[in-house]
Amino acid sequence: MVARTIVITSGKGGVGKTTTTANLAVELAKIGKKVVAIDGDIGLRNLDVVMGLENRIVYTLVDVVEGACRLNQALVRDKRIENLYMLPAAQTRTKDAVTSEQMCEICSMLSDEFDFILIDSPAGIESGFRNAATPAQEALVVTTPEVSAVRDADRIIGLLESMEKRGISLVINRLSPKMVKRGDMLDISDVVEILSINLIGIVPEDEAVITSTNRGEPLTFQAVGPAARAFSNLAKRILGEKVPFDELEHMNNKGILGHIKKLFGV
Amino acid sequence: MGSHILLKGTREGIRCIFPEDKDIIGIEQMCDEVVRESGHILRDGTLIVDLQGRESDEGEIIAILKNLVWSSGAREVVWRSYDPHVRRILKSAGFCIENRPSYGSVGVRGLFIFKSLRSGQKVEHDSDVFILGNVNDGSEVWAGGNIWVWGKLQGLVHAGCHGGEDAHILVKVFESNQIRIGKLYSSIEKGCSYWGKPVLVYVQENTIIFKEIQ
Repeated sequence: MVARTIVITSGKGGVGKTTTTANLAVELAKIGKKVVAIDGDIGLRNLDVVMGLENRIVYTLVDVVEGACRLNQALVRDKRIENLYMLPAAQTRTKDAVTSEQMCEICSMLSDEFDFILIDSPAGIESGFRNAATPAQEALVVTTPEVSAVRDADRIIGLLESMEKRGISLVINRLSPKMVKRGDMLDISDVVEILSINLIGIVPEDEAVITSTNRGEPLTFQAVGPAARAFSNLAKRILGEKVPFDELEHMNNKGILGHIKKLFGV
Repeated sequence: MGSHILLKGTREGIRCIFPEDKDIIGIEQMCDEVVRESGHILRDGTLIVDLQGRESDEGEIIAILKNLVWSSGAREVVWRSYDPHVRRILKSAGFCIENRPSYGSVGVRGLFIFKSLRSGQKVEHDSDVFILGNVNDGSEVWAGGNIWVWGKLQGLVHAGCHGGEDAHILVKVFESNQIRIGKLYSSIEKGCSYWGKPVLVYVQENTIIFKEIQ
């Protein structure tokens, strides 16, 4: 087994890298793939909280690098679903605690055991990003449809291209169809035109994301709601399935109008 | 700005760059200083008298001839200026003037880029730059000559970045907030009449002109 190593990155903070990593990891594990999600954000870890595994951390990535424990001792297994693991970051250290070479070494050790290695990259373009991106063959660039986030995503794509990553795909997160309609938000075609990379996921704005993050239960466990559906589609597309981009249509068919439409088969 | 002539070695010869501001010390004194201290470098070589945008008159040019050009023993002399009045004086005297004074290194070929420039990427080139792609927001192009963007321009471009205001910028889809040519710059408001359209940008009478291309 040789794992597909994917870095989830963005440049700008707060656009949904960790949420995407957690939900994608759960969804791929649900499909039957053996997945490990690595928190690459040393010093500002969050993946453990979003995945609801914060109470089960004994060792961290930095402990592995420093030889304080074995790699499998630091891996946290998710008891709710088979095949899902997380490698937490240290909260009390900084990005310099790990080097790119050490990250590559860790990923190559995990590669034989897993189908997917998902690396949650920190925001920024400094050493933390480089450590997270170096071991990955593929990258998911997450952006929100805001000018600042798109510009940062563009910067990150430029850096990933210079690192010769072959599969760079785009996830547009927190898209609000109402705001797009009002002209207050960039629409999908604007973002794709600027970034000129393969669009692989569209995640609509969904309040359930906040609830699930606070509960420590990734949305995809429940598989209801527009964002959960979007993450599910994203996982299928990563596995090569041809899934139409109907995330927003599904959202528009919600509510009373949606029910009426359904009733009349519109 | 200092009141001294700056010497710079280039492939074409020794460039004597004159300060643009009128000097505290006289032109004769500045020239004498160069010949005294660096005459051995200038002798038998090619001398490029670079007046930049300095507003020299006939008297000053004669002084440069006497105190620098003839005193230095240079074999060949080329004049460079981007002040239209000075260029006229030099031309009428039959002097050898660089055709494209702003274009950095003479003989440097244009640079073709067959991809879009992403945020954070910067291209610098002494001559013309042709981009067959977009110049995204956050990227920059600095060219000694002209800049052509065969795509959408959202980043910053600076044509004639060595001071030449005879350079131009040609863009297929114009969506940039700032343009620079030579020593001039212009801020552009989103929503202006040529926003999103093909545009030619050039300098006329010290003003940047935006001309929509049909």
